[in-house]
Amino acid sequence: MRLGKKIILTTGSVIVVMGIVTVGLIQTIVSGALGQQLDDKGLATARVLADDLANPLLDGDGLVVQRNLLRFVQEGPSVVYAYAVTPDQRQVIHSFDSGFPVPLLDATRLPDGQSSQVRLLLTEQGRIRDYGVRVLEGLDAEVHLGLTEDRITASRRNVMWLIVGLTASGVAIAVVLAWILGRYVARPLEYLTATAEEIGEGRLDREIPITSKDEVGDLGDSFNRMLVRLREAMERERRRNRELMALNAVTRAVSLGEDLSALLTHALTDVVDALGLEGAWVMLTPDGEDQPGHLAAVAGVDTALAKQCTCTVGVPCSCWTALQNGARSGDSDIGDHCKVAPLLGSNGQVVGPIPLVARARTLGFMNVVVAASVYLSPQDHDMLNGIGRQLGVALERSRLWLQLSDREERVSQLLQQVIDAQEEERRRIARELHDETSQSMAALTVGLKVAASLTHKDPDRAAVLLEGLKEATSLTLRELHNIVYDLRPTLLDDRGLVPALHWCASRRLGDQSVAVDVTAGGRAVRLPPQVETTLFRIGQEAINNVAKHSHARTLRIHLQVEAKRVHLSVVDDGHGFAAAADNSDRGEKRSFGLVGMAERAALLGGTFQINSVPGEGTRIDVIIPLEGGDDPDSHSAG
Amino acid sequence: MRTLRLVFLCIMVIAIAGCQATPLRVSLSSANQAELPSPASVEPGVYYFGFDRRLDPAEDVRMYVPFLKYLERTTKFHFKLRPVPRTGSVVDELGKGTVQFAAIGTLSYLTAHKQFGVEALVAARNAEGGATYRALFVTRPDSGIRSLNDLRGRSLALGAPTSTQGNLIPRVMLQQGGVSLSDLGAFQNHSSHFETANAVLSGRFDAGALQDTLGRELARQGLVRIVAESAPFPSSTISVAPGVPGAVVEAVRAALLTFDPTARDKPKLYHWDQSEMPLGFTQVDLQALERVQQLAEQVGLLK
Repeated sequence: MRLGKKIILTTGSVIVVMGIVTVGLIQTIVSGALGQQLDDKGLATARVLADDLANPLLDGDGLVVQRNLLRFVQEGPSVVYAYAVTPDQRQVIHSFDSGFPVPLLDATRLPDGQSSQVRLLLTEQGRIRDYGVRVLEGLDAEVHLGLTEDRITASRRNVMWLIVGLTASGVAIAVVLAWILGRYVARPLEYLTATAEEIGEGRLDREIPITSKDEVGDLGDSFNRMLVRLREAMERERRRNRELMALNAVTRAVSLGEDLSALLTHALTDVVDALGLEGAWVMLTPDGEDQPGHLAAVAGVDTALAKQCTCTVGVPCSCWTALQNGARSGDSDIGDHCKVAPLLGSNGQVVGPIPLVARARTLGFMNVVVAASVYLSPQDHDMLNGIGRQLGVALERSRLWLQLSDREERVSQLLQQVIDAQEEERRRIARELHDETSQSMAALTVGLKVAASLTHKDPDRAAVLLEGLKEATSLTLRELHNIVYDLRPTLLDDRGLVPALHWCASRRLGDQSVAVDVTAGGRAVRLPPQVETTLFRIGQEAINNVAKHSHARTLRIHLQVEAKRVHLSVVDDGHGFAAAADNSDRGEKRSFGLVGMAERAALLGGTFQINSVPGEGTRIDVIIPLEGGDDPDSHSAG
Repeated sequence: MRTLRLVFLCIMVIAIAGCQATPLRVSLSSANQAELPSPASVEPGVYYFGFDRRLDPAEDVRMYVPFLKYLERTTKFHFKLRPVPRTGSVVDELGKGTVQFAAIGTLSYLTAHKQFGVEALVAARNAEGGATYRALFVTRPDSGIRSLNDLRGRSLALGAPTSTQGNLIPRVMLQQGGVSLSDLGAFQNHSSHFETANAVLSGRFDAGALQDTLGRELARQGLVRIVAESAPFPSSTISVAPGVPGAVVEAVRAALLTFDPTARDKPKLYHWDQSEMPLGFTQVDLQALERVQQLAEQVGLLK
């Protein structure tokens, strides 16, 4: 049921009920009041009559009494009858025409000791009130008056009809007023309800006009405030949703494990879709360089248009400049400076730069294109910066992943090279044992057999032969010694790194007329065994490279031992080579050697750096950090 | 909803029904004779008290009702007042036994005593403690009547024929003063001292015979002038009819003798000072009554 009808029905019902109750109550009150008034009047009249009749009754003047009674009945319009009981109770003097009805006496006689009484009688003439009083106190004489209730009934009826009329009028007026009130109250509420339903259907742009300052107005105002908060909450939710969608897109793109460009393109496309952007592009800086780089990914924007960004050609644009100054999305308007912005015309505006940051390092930036009519709030810029950070992390992860993959590949190649080197070493040892030591041993064996056969036949020749075998044995021992020394020179353990490197260079380069200069500087201490071994093997590899590839005339090896690091440099004046461009088979083998040197240095936390220019020789620098380098118990450098 | 309906119904019932008394159904058309169905002349255990009409009948009743209540309180017997109609006689009621006790004047007592053996219990006490009272002749203050002799040719208002102070004593005084009724211009008996006084005050009669207490009160107010005053006569009595138990008689006598209308019992009385016994009661002087009896017989009021 509608509110207006409820108000009308409720008001009407209340008034009807109250009218009925009022009629009943007023009827009761009026009846009571009229009855009381009639009783008072009746008793007073009866007393007056009793006073008038006292002397005639006491005198025994029955006729006087009767005349007075008849006169009283005739003159009183409400008086139905009157009668008196004589003091001796022997006679009833009355006003009845056809004799006194004895039952009336039984019904109305005063009890002993009671001076007056009112009795309500229901007779064929209607309701009658009998008022009985004693003529004089102490006497049995009584006077009774019978007054009809017609006047009370008529008054009560008149009052009832008056109240019924008033109630009916009140109901009619109340219904009209309730209708007006219902309209007055219900109309704003109906409008409020309709608006609430529209809002419930999603039309949050609706607003309730406040037309009054009453409770309905307050309700509308509260509703509007609730609506504003709802819009704000939904906007926050939408923004958060977009942000989550964008971040989810970035995360999904990252998880695809694609290469960097594909990753960025994929992620950028998802971000553009999620945020409803017109487009976006990403500029990346070169690894390890703090300068504009290249266009890494484009989404929603013509690639040719994005390439107008001068950063793509290594020239810092306004975006890069702003980024270098610590700007973030929303800090400044780059549209006036970005060369892409004018090209968009009225189709959009450039927003950025959005830095791609990871581990406090700016890896690049992202610019987005939004519609010209779109205003980005600070929260939007925060969201873009958040996405930039996420992209930066993803980018960093991707780069690290690539580096890791590359490194794993190199380690794998290195392992293969080690295995090959081992096999090569084994083959070399076997070949040397077979070609030299075995042959020598076989020759010794043959010589010893000959010497044994000549011992008895030709002792002198046997002695000469044995002398020759003795020298051959010495030679064989020297060969064996060389083989063992090549595996690991005892010189390294006995005298230290510098003598070992000097021995290795002299032995390897001695027959190539290469002047070797091995020097040491800094602290004269023995290095930890693993450091000496690592540096010896790196130096040995470098010496081998010089021997094999450089055609150098001089080789300078210098070991500089400091408190917290040791620096080994190997410099030759050979042909040199172009490290990045040498893809030949020989260069590949040398590259593996270089990788092995770098890996050895990396195992001890050190760095390996090679600089070589064709025709200008090669320089290798290895730096190994020392732990407890100040330990006074360390061995001497030898 | 059910509760609401119930409340509504209750309100309707209360509103419509209200708090009205249940009427007694009586038919007024069932006519019967006006005579009551033979009521008993006397109720058992009730002693009826009569009195000589002295003032207005209603006033007499109002005066005697508190007096009877005093008797009831004191004796524990039940009394009812029985006024005698103007056409009736207390003496006759005493004789018939419908009245057992009565406040009657000397003449009435003498009549009742003589006819029915009624006995006087107590007599009205005067200011001196005696059992006598007097009668007065009064005129209007501007009247030229100065003595009884001046009554000749004038009109005289007398009391009731049975009244001692209003009829017996004045008649004795006139006789003793040498004025007979025939010497008067006119005379008329009235039913009470009040009517006698009214007859004089209204100018209908030139003079009137009144009880001494009422006459003196009117004179004090300047309404009348006292012309003559009688000698003391035995005052009114409270008499008892024969057949009343002695214990009741003695209880009533004792109560009457201790009656104190001027002090102790005054607050509960009604204008007792205007009665013929305003100061209470004392023992009866029987000899004085005998003398009065003779005088009454002389003037022809007692046969």
